[in-house]
Amino acid sequence: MTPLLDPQLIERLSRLELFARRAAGGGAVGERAAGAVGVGTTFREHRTYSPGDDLRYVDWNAYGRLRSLHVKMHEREENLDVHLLLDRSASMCGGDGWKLATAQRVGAVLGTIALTRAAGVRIQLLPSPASARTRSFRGRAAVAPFLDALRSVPPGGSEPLGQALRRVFPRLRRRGVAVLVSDFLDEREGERGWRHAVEFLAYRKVALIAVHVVAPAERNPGVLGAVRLRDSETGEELDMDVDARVAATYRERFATHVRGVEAFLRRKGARHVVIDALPDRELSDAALIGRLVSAGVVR
Amino acid sequence: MTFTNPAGWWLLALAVPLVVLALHLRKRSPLEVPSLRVWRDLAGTGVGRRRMRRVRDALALAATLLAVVAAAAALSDPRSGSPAAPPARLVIVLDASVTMNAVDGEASRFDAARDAARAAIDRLGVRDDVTIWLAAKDPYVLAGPTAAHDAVRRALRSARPTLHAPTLLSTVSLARVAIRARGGDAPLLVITDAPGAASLGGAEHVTVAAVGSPNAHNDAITAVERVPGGIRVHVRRYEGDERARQLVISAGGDASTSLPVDFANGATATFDTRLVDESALRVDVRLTPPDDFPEDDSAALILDATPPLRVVVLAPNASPSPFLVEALAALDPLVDRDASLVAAPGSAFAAESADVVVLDGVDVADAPRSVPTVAFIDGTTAASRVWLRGDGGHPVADGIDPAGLRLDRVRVLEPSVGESVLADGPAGPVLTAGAEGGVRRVRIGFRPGAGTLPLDPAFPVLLRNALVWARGETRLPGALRHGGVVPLAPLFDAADEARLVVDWQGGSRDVDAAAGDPDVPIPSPESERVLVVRTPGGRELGRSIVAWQMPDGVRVGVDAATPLTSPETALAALPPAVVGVDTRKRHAGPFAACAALLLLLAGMLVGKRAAQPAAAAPPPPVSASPAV
Repeated sequence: MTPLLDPQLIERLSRLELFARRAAGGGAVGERAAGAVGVGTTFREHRTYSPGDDLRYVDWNAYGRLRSLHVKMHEREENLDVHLLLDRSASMCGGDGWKLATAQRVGAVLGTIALTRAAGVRIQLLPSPASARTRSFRGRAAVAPFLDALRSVPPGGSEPLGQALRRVFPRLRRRGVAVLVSDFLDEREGERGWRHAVEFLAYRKVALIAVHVVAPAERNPGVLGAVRLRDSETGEELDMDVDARVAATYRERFATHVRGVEAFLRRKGARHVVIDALPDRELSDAALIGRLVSAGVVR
Repeated sequence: MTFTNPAGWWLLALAVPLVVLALHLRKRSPLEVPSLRVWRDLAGTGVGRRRMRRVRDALALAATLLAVVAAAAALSDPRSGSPAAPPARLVIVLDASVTMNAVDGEASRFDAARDAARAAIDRLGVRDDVTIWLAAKDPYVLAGPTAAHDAVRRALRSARPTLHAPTLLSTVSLARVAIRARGGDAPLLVITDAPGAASLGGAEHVTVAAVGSPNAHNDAITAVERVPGGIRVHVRRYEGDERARQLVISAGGDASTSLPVDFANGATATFDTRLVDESALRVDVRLTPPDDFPEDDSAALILDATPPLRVVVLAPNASPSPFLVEALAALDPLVDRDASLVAAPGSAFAAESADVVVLDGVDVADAPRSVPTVAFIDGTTAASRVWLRGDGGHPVADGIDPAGLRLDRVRVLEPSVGESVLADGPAGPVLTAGAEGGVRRVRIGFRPGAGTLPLDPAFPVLLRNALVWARGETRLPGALRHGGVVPLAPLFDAADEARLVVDWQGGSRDVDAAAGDPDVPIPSPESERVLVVRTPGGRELGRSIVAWQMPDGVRVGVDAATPLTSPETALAALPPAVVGVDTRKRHAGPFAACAALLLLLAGMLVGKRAAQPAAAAPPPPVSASPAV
């Protein structure tokens, strides 16, 4: 079985770290650095003294040189759980299968980065299988079993994304980083919609990284003529007569949809990155990681 | 409206596959998409939803089917109106007699007749039928009655003239009977070179077209044959006026006879003439002056190669019995009268050159021993009757009936060794035949004037048989053909003729008879030559002409001077209404409708997009990433 990540890439990923906008505190100390005055053992920087700061952290050597008061800032190491929320609905699993494969690759990269930083990673499938237990991994030694578990993701059902997200909320016992890998095509609104679930995550101060997986055929269906379209999740059918103008209008509308998803997620404080669902030969590991770095998800 | 070609409606069968194809193309291609979210937004704004699609597809299918119907109607050749006349009938009679072989200019008369028949057929309407009769040795229908004009043209191509006399009148009669038998009437077109056919033109619905050139003349020599005492020439006048001509007959050397040609008794004439040169081996006949067809104005006859006998009669005082002389003279051409002579005993030089020596009352001992002899021996005893011994099968006795003979004086003969007794009298043999020393001898125990012999038909028969037998069989074949051989075996019975010479006027070959050459091949000279076989001493044993087969030729006559109708005039004289011109109007409507519908269909197809998925556009490239 082809491994999701080769050992060389894993080694390279150990030098990266996840970066979410909202840092969430955790229990155990991990390698996730958070900025705080005097907290921790690693000096980070100086800051001008403000009334109310603890005088024990004033740097008197700096005062002797600068004749002004400065306090030392230390890095507070926090242990951060990463919840890998993998959308395995019918829309993710249909077509040529590269959407789900890309989601697995992205999950593998992000999860490996977290594990090599001694963080915990929990794989959560959306919708979750009826009898499956949530699997958790921690530390560098768990990279291999983590990748093995991530490789074998069965196709899911047609449960709305929002509803599936709400179902896993109770498992988010510690605030951490949620990596939601989905195509965000579920158009259901309200409590069943994914937007409502994202808002809840934001309320609970869960740092959200949204990986938006888009298949090339979704951007540009490449179909002309009389077609009968069928929704892979709902089974609904729609007859369309597609010509060049209709195809152009579709491409424009789809791009608008993607921008709309991005805008919403950013408003809710999430980082959003769009990854094209392509085969390995067309989306190399370096290109994938570069895309994540460009989006600020990884540094 | 009528449809001249109903088979065109079979094109409607194309509608079935067209409908199936249209229904197949109207089917929508199924496509599963992850979500209809965006598509639904489009549909909600009316984009991509062609409400008129079904109507457009239905119109395209209807236009296609209408185009098929229009094309089928066009192919069926619709005609409005009624024909000028019901399908007409035309009967053509072609003269195929021997005279139609004549070549006038570049083509034969029959070819011209064939062209005239084709022109008549080309004028016919589509449904008009035609029948072609051929006036050959026996009249027959070459083609029809049929409206399949192409088949009739093919039959015309295969028709040929014959070498027989014309049967035009009987053919025309049969054709008219056949026309009446079918009911109604039909025009009859007669195409011929016969002058008498012009009279047919007066009959109702009969038009005569003439081929060939007028005012020509031809007489022909049709046969030359050998008859007793001469030859007979047959001449025939094929066509033309009385014209002064001569028949010239040549037989050997420059000798010739000229006779005026007279056809007082009709178209044929026979000329009997005696040969000027009886020893000639060939007779040439020709008509002069030449006429329009000189090839049939000459002929030749190869005569019998056997030369007449040179007979020497030995009689006391050179005075043979006049009965004997008369009998020999009557044996022409067997006896060469000019070369034969009468001599007294002791004229051996004369007798040596003879083919046969006839002794009349002369002792046989006086005859040369190397020459065959027929001896009439004087007798002393009276014989009341003579009878043949045996069955009379000997060549000398062939045909002789001696029952009525009454002889005054006979000599009873004593047969010697090798002699056969052919007839007996009361006292003994009176006729013998045999050979002595290889030389044949016939002994007759009475003289020609003894008794009633000169008055009996047996006498000249006996004399002829005796001469022929004494001379022996013909040495050479009557007429030698090139490529054949001269058999020499019959020539070797003369012991002193050990060598022979074969001469063919330009070459010769010595043949050693003692060596046993079986035969001599006849050479192939460039022209006819005379072959001569002779002894080294010059004595001719035989001669013949090396001949070729005379080529046969058919020469025919031409029209008489009576002016006849040309084919073009004859065709123009045929009433068009009877020949059946189709005056119905062809409809252009279906053609126009078909073209218009096809254009409409083409326009709709051009505006319609192909119902097949196009190749997916390549996805936008992933932005370059810094090395990890």
